[in-house]
Amino acid sequence: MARRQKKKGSVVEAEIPMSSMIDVVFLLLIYFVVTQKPIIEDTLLGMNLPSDDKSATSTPPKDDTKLMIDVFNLGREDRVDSYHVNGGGPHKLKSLRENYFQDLDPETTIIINCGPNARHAKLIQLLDALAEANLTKLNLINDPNVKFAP
Amino acid sequence: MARKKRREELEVADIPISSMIDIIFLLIIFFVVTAALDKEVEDEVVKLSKAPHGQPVKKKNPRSLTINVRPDGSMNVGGVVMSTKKIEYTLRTVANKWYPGNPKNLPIIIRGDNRVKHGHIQKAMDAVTNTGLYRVKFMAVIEN
Repeated sequence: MARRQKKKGSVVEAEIPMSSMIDVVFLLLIYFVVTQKPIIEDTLLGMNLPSDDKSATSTPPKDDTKLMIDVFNLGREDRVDSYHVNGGGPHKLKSLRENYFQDLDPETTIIINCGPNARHAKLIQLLDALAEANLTKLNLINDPNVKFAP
Repeated sequence: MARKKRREELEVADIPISSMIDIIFLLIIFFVVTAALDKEVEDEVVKLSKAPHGQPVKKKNPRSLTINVRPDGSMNVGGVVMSTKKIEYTLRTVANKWYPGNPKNLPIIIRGDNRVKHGHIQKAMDAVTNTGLYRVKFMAVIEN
């Protein structure tokens, strides 16, 4: 009797060592949480580059199908990183959006004259506003009269 | 009786986890290393300007050249600091190698820092135009 009972009572237990696996899983979890970066999407803003033609200066166009925008920083308080349309007074980007870009024909050629002392971010903000208004005919020119002060 | 006890001890089923962990670590190392290689062209020092209305880049052309312009005005390609002349040389070499039929088709991406003055970006653009290339785009981030 004793023999039979022992045979029936012996249960084979299948054990998986979970503790070490949990250790590794937590380690991986911490690694991925720490090294994770927020997904930032990039965009590419294109335009036509300045030509070698030195005659292409920053004189405002008389043609209605063209718009000249200057991005300047001349170091003076009133003209610090400001936008000027067709040689006019300084504008903020919001004013450019509301007064110029909203009703502009998408076929209009935009000539951008970015001064060498203006911050690059100002040009990108302008290109972004033009992209918002579906204006794609963009030409970038350099004004040789403005000296660069690095 | 002693024999029976030994048999019971041997009957415990065990799954070998250690080899599985070895393989998992091997795969992790592989993915981490290959992901790092993909990001090598992008200079972490350069903080891009925001352009929330730009079209997102779905798939970047692997045969494009990226010029990074840091806040101090220094330029680098793939992490290697270069002068304007060296960039011109690199552009010519890469354009002829990647686009032997029409080297002018080489797309160039300028990653300028948002604090850098445009004069430094002009230097990079001058290097591009001096080599006869024209397909230039500025990189920005879509972020509100």
